Amino acid sequence: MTASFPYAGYAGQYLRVNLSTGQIQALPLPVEWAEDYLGGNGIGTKILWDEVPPEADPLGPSNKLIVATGPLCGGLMPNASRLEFIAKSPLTGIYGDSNVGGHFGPELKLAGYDLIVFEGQSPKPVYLLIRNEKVELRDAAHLWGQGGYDTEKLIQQENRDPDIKTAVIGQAGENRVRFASVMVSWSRHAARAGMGAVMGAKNLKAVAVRGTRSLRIADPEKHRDISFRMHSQIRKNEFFVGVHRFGTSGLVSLMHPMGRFPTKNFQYGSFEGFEEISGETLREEHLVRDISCFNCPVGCDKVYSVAAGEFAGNLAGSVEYETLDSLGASVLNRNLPSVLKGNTLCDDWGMDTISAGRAISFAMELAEKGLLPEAERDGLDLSWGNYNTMLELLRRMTFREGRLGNLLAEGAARAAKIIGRGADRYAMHVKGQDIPAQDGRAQQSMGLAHVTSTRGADHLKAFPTIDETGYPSEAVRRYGEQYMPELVDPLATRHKAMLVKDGEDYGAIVDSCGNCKSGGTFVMAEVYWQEQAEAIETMTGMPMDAAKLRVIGERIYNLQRCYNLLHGLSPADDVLPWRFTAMPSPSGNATGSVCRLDIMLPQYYALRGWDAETGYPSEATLARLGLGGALERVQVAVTSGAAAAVYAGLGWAAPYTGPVIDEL
Amino acid sequence: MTASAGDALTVRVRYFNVLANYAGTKRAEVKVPAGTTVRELLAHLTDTNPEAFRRALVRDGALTSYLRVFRNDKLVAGEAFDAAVAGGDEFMLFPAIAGGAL
Repeated sequence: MTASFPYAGYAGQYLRVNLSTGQIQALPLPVEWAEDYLGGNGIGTKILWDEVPPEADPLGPSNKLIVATGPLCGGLMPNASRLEFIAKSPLTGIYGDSNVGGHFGPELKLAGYDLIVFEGQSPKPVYLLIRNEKVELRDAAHLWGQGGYDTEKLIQQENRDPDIKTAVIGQAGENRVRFASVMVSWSRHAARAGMGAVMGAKNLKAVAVRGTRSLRIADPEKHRDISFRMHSQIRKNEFFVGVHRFGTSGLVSLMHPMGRFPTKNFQYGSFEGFEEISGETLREEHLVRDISCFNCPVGCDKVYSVAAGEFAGNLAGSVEYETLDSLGASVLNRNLPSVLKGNTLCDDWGMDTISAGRAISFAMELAEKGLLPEAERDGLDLSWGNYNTMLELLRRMTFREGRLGNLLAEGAARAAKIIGRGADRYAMHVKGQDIPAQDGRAQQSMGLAHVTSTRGADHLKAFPTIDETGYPSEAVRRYGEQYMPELVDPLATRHKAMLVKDGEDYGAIVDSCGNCKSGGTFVMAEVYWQEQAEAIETMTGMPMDAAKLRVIGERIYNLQRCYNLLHGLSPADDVLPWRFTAMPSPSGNATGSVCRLDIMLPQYYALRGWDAETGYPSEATLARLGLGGALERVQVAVTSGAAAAVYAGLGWAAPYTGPVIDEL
Repeated sequence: MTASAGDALTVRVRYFNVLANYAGTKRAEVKVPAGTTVRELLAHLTDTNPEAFRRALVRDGALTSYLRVFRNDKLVAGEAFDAAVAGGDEFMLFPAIAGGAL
């Protein structure tokens, strides 16, 4: 850390890289950024608010990409590995971020930087190489056109250092596929919201870092004590035995009876072929080995291979629950090796498997409903379950090949607007981002979470796992008896606004500190508000308690909301597609259920201190959070017509929210 | 379990995730006396399965809240644990799992 920075745990400086001019500056980290926003997600939000105007084209030079660690990243706490990418999203046109584990974050910190701000647009392909104080932009012409796996390997080879950690894009990012991802170390991805397309538009092929400096801890004895305590509690918790064994893929079997496993583009919530693509089958038939991120006691990550058949020899890493849905059940595909192949292609070419899969199931449903004539299918058989078509469309989207591939590379929501003729009815998204495999009819809180997420449809902002399947002891430990039993009932609406708000605020803290939402901070929250505050204080020396932390979490989330309001968003965008609110679920435990946003959303607004009609945070709310002036900026943008102009250019069709169109 | 063995019912039980590893099987057909409640069925299963199964789910002599049970695709909660099982019922048993891709 730099001598002048008052807090330990931080490197105390950051990099500002102007890709247009090639200028690289190492600057002192502003103390108020750390005190008011902690790091990662929070500081990234602050920079976006201050420096990236709503008129900025997400794929233009005015957009900025912030790659940020937090104060716990690289330290002793469980899974202190997480890294944030923040920018205006090319998929949604609004606030965007994506979080990833692996080993890059700690390495960046040990190189001496808390974060990097990329500005402008390079005239030619480059990559940034960081080796402690030596930071340079390198020519990347020879890397352009390479997949993520080879890019990582080539950078390590040409620098003669296998310990270099990389964040790279594949061809999808180069081609500005709007849901392109960033591969961070082998097979882990900052996948959502199109951060890879932002890099591609900037001609930034990769960031490579090697750090050999040290990181100071403010109170080593106390920090070691809480860290070891948390590691020990996570290791003893029976819950994490299953998480380690199956990772998130273990969810497939459970989501089937819950009616929460999106099937056939969300027409159903259960998949009769679920056992063929379940986590249990995946482990039994394809496991090579378990792997883990930096300093993680859980180890949910895996490497899989296919031994025989048409996909023999395929190696796949990090095959998540979401991918088993998006390339499996969502397209009615029960051929697991083909899902693994699709996973590998998305990893190498650099695409979010959720949005890629949703674009394909969207096209398949359009074909089913007669909204995509043969002449517009580029010769593809778009029948449900055709995994060869699924794999071919992944390729065509990556390389923007053909009319359909190029169209779907825009994402389902934008493609729906381009197609017209009612296609918007089958694009399952919120604010332009595709809905993940978390059906809000089967879990009311999740439906609300998609709507209130600041980056469009998303399960990870609020991550309301408490009522996902319901763990009474965990719910009582966190919230008390007064919310039982409704809080753990997935179909109940009562208390869910509270659950979502708390998750969003706490999630903003976790994503700003650098630890992991799957590593003991959310599902079975051994590390919750109090422990997180203790960890931050002992790591940094910054006075911290749970109450102060709650204010910071709220501040970050409200600033993201305000940023989106500058883009003309309003309560009219806080909606779910008709399939979730008008069409009762036909599946499992959710049979007959719709998502009751009409009940939960007003409660949520009230809890947040947001105006029911405008959706604006109140002046009092913002003043309490130290965001005075934010409301005035929003009001000026709206009354001047600037916000409406930005909104008109976002490019996606608002989801259809009318009555049921067609019965199953 | 109060009914006589002569009134035995057969239910299907499916184990998932680590419970299948602990039980050593994914599926079982279990005979219980008529009138057996879901709670009694679960107690029977924890008693008859290997020790690892019991260690995972029983704390201080009682089933933990880390067990999720679906009866014919409906989540069992509250009073539903005290309802009598019926012949042909299918029970799906899960340990604590939740989350999503990160």
